[in-house]
Amino acid sequence: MTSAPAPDAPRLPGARWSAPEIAFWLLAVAAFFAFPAYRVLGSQILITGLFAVTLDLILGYAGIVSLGHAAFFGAGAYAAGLLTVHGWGEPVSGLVAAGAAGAIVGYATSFLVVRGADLARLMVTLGIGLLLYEAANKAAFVTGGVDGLSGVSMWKLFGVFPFDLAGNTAYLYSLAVLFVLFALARRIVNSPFGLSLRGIRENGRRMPAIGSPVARRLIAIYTISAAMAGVAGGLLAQTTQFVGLDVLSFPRSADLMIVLVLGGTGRLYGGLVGAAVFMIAHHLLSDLNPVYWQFWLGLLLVVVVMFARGGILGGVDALRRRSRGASR
Amino acid sequence: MAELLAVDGVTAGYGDGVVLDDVSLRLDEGDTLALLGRNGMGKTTLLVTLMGLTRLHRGRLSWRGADLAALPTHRRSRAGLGWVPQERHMFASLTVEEHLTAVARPGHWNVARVYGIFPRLAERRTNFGNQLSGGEQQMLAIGRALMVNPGLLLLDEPMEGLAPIIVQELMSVVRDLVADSGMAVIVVEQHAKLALSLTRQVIVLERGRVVHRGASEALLADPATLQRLVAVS
Repeated sequence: MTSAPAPDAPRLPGARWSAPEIAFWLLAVAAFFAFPAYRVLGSQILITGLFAVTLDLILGYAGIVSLGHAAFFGAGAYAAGLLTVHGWGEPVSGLVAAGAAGAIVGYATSFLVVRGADLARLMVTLGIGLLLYEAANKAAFVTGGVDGLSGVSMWKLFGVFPFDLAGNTAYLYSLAVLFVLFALARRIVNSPFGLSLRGIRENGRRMPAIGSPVARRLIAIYTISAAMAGVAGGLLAQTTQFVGLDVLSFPRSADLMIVLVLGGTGRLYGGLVGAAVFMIAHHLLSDLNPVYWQFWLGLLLVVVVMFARGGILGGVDALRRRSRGASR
Repeated sequence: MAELLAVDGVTAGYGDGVVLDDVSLRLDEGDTLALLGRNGMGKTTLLVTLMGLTRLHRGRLSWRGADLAALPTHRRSRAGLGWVPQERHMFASLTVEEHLTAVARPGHWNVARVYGIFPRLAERRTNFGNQLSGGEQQMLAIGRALMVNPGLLLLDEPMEGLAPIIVQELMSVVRDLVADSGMAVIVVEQHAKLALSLTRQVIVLERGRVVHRGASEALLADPATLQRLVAVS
């Protein structure tokens, strides 16, 4: 892929974890203790956050728009779920299987996705998502179809921590997996490979002349993203001990796009912030009125896109720049 | 010196159109060539053809004895062709330093050495590609080409549109590069005298054909011929 920089080359920018980043992760740990009643919701936010980060890898960095990312999430969820149904309930190896399932589906479909332009990619990813959804629906003897996959039962994590109803294990397990994969994603986007993806997003035709094979790089990041999305799906299957057909559904892909745009694309943390805002808003607003919560979501989305370029984090950046300019 | 690049009877252009007509040239390791001619005579097209971005209708391209025409563009870059395009091709989403690290390949040239010859880029390391002046962009385009550790540097009108003071600054760096680095260089330039003073041999193109080839020094010493070939003002 890419060669290591020469020994006396300066460190890549962003290689060091900044103070706000460290605070962010400590906050995620603190939330476990601060809101003991919401650990189940918390674990779902972490899983959705991880899923959004995987979309950011292809959308925010490589510029591949997708309305079918649930295909990989669902593949991972079914892989992890089916493994336990057939007698293997060890969580960590189950996640590895989920990631492998996502990677296989991702690699197999990447060739269709990398060639097209934006509209073609939207339609191809949408189509692949629908295909897998209906395939899983039809294959009810394997997947349980609309009834969902029942009989998912996880062994204790590391043989010690059971997956309890209060979500204690689910939260910490999800947080740990999210952190590991996030650190990996962060490393990827700061590597020469990640930088070349940004170049491809900006102008793919210029990249071959400076040594980047465009199609191969896009296939690589698409497969990596799909593998991580598979892990996110596996996490959901394991922590909820259930796999419904909705893991492959179009709304899951579409919501994911909303989550990422809300938080801000191309900055990794956008997916995490977007997931937190989206799911907490969902929780609070549907308490007020379970039917019309999407009205407020729609309003929020329009306001953010119109007034805060780059999503919530983009808006925060703009405010910080403005206040710094004013204090001078 | 060993042969680096051979262009044999190349006819090439965009789509079905022909811009280069039966062009041949030979370049040894470390050799330097000025490519002159009026506007629209095919100088840039020759560089672009070396990079594999045109359609090769006829002829052979060989690189260190191997067939260059068979390689896709990114493999040509990796094989050692460092192209500095006329439009510079900066990225607004990458900083100066990221432009350099994104393409780095092992060898003599690394970020520190590029900053060594272009201290200005070190000052601007966290600026994005669209926040640079024309001169800085040109320095970065050259620096980026060096980061692939090329055996041949292709400079396409490096001085175009730059203020005279910047041209001087850049020229002294390019002159040192050409003299000391051991890299072969092909330079396309409107300022014919400038290009001739940098190089050992010269080729003049007219409507895609080679109309003059010889030693740069000789052409520089023969203002009448130079005037006839490229009409320097």
